[in-house]
Amino acid sequence: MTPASPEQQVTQLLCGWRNGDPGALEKLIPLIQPELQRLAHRYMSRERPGHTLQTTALLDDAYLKLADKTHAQWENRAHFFAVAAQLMRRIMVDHARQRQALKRGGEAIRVTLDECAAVTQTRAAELLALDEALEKLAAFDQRKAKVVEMRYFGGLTMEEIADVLKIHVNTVTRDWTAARAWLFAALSGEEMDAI
Amino acid sequence: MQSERWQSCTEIFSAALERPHNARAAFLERSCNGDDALRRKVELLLKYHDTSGDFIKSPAFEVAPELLVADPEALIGQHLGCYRVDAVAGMGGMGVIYLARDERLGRKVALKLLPRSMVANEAELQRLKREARTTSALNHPNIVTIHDIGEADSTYYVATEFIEGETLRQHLARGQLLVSEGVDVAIQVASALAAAHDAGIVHRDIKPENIMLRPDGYVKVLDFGIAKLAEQELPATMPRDEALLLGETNLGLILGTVRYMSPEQTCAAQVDKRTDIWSLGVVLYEMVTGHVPFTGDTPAEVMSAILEKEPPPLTSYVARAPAELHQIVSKALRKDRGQRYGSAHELLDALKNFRRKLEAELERAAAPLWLRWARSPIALMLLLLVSALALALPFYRHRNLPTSLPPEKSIAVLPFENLSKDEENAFFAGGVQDEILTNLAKVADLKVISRASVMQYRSGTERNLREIAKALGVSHVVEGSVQRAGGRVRVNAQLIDARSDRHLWAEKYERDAADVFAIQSEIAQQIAGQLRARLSAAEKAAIAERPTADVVAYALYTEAKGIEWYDWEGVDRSTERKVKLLEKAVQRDPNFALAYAYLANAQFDIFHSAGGSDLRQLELAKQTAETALRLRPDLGEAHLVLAECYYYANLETGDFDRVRDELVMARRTLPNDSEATSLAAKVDKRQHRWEDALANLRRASELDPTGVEVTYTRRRTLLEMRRYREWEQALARDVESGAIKGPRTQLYLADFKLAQGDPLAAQAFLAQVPLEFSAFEWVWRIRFEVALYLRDYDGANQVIAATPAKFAHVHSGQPPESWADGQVARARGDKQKALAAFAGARKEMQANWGDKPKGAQYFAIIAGLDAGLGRKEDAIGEALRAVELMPIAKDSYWGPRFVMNLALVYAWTGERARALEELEKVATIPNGPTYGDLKLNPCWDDLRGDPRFDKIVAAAKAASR
Repeated sequence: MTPASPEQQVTQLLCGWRNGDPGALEKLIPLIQPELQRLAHRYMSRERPGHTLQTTALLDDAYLKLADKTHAQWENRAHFFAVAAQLMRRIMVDHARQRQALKRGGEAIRVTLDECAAVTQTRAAELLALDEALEKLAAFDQRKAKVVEMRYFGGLTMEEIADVLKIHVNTVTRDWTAARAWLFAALSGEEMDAI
Repeated sequence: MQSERWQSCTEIFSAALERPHNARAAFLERSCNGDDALRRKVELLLKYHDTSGDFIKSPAFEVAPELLVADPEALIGQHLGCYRVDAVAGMGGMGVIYLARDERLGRKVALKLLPRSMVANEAELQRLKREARTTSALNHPNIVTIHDIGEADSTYYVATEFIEGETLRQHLARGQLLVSEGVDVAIQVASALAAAHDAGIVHRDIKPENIMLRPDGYVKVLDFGIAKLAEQELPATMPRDEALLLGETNLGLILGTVRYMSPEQTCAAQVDKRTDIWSLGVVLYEMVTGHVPFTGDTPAEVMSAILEKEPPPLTSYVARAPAELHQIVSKALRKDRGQRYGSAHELLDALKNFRRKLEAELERAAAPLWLRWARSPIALMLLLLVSALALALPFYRHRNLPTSLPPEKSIAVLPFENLSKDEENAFFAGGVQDEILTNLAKVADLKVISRASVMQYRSGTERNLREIAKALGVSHVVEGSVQRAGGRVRVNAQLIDARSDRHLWAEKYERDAADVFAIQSEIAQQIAGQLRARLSAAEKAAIAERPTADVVAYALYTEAKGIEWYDWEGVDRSTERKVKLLEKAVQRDPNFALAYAYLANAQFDIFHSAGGSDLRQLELAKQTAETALRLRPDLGEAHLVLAECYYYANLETGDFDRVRDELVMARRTLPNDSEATSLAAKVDKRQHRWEDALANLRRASELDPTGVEVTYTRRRTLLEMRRYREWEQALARDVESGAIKGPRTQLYLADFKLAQGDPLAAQAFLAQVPLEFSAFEWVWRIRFEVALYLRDYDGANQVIAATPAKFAHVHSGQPPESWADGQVARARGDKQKALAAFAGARKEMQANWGDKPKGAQYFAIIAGLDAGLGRKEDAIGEALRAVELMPIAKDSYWGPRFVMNLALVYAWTGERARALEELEKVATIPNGPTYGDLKLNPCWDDLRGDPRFDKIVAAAKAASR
């Protein structure tokens, strides 16, 4: 039997993930990540103050490409976005960790990168803290955590999130508002765990 | 999953949010129903909700896109194709730039990874490659060369020339530039743009991040990688299918940082070359004032300023900003691009005119031209180094604008366009042009511009032929194209009368690739015939001859010849590469005489650029040249290398008979060779034929109008001959043509003023030279002399202390640093310190010289030191020895220097009459002491007040023309 092509693999894993296979996502990441990274590169190269390129526009590209490759195994575009949001969260958190490790390792940031690197370090730290808080939130309110993930990491609109979660858009908005306040309080050092 | 308490908490929170602030407390009171813990939680959420601002409102992706990409540092130590990534060099618009090593060629490169999405398909990759080829093919000294675009481990990369130095952005972070510096940078950028625009390429992203400043004053424009071939304004010579492909490029994609965007870019309108002119205007404005012309707190504000506002005048930041500069900047920054400079050439001309005026003003501000060129005894030894270094000057290529009309039978063979698909054929195309040039240069009846001076015109577009011909001083131009595919070769060539743009002759050849020699010979013969050049039978035979029958050997030879010094990391490396290729070529065809000659030439270059002291390397070059001559006794190229070898082998003895013999042989078959001509001039100078030397140098600089060495040697010779007016004309012309760049102009002028006895003017010029500009030691020598002549002894000591190499190149015949210390101490009257310094210098001299053969230079230096130490008999004996070894009669170039040295020794040992007698011999002849030296150098203080000395000083002054 010939090994499955990357496209077939992606398709199979997506099915697995939809059917609740927790390992599927792990395996999906390395397959989809390059595509997202390519898009991220392009995003960065275009990203200039004043540009209005939206995350969703970027994900649209990714979706179209993947849909093409995987013969549209997605239920719909929003569904893909939900996966993509998870992936993006994963990727960004991993990279943020790498950069934090670099800093803790005491390695001097190379000269010309100074300014960029400093900003990145701060963002990396913030992102890691947010990720941690989001985990805590998920421990007692997974839906709200999901909403934040889709919104913040995936850039989905409220309507799209509602579509994925099959709940009313007003509920999504309320979830988002409450989760945002909770996260901000948690990150501001308030004791928010117990209720 | 949600606990009930948490659920009620969020429900109450959501409901409270829908109520006005003042109603919330009552609502909570009601809803929480005495559950204080619950109420506190809701209140906390409300409080943080109200203060959360923009918290996580923008997707993470937009806030920190860099986190979606792997850590740039992770790649360090990894391999990409043949590149090993060594370090992160910086961050550019296209992402991270790495410093990497090409392990195949052993050179440093800058490596950029291309977003895969930018090169999603083969067509895009091809387009990028095509652009890279086009810009690199320009071989413009101000454009960064792209070596390679490729794919490895499913990553696309671009490998470019690695530039030492910093970006203009980094430089500006330390403050704005002087007007003259800013203009110099702008001139170089404009020159790069002019070349790129001629080739149909618009940069689109000119900004300080994309401009590199090298420590030697060179400016390099980066990132032509994102420049797209201009959709409009295709050069007339662009083939149709190429033009069709251009249609694919995205229109209206806004690129470039907002502040440097042109009005048309902010509107996403189609850009053209005038967009780059705008951006350069912004950069020039920023360089001079330290501020960008269009500002705003948000990008939108900046854009509206770009579209609507006029920038504050330069004078609002720099009070004394010249009005003309303001006009240039304003014209570059016209909102309506129709009102801007129509081309980068126009802007370049305006900038150059302005620079000329700046310099003229500085000149006027300096003292009048009534003094003369002089040189002190300390400089006697230093001069040896100066001339050695002058030879090592990098061979900058620039335009020259001769004033007289070019002769009828004159021609420049411009680089041919490579129309083949793969890049390797660039060598092939280069080889065809080179061979046609070489063939024509064999015709004595023609004036053929040297390869060195034509290679800068790689773009080969039609529109500038007239200008190019004017700059090179020729009436005719040859251009063409080469295409090789499937064993067939197609060559197009045309001869154009550049004065009238008339095509005199054009021909297409299509044959087997192996027949390329025949095509080259035919083209050369046709052109010679069209120009009605008289060809001797020998010349005809030489043109028809095949250099080798081995196609592979010939390809290696062509590749070696195609290596320009600026293709690689430096002269040394490129020469080594040449040697390797040529060694392979002669291995394949041991009868390939021309390859041997060229190999000898490269081996000689290694000897030369290493300082000219490795005699074994010189011997190697000589032997290779002799091998070539055994195969082909009349081969001019080999005779020329032999002449060079004999010249350097006999530098000390001045025995140049063999050099002259070899040169006669060389010039017989190489009538248009500027190197042979300038070597002849060097020999002339040493053999009392100063006028011949000048004539030869004039001829050499006509053949190689942009050659730095040739133009420098010519100016130097004018100075030595005390022809100051001609020197000034030559300097003006060389500055005008760009042959002299940056701070060098001021240094030459400082040196000139010193010779004229005006150290204050010299100081004023020096003040314009950044202290870090010390590419060559003569910079420090001039600084030292200025301080010494001004009797600013502390200043002189500071210069000595700051000189990087500590004046210590004893092997070049230069006295140790402490000799300079001794000079200063002696002039100050600090006898003890002077004695200590001279004693130290003497010890160092002896230690350094060791058992090496001691020539006139050694005895001259030791004599000066002994004179300083009061060892009169020894000093006089040694100084006489130096004169005996190299008397004026035997060497008209160095002879006068040793006589001056003898005069100094006499002066310092109380032999005033003898000192004056010696000085009288040299005060008015070429390469004798300058007026400034005699008048101001403290070393002659022992002679001052004597009317006979005054007469000598006056004579030196009167001898200048």
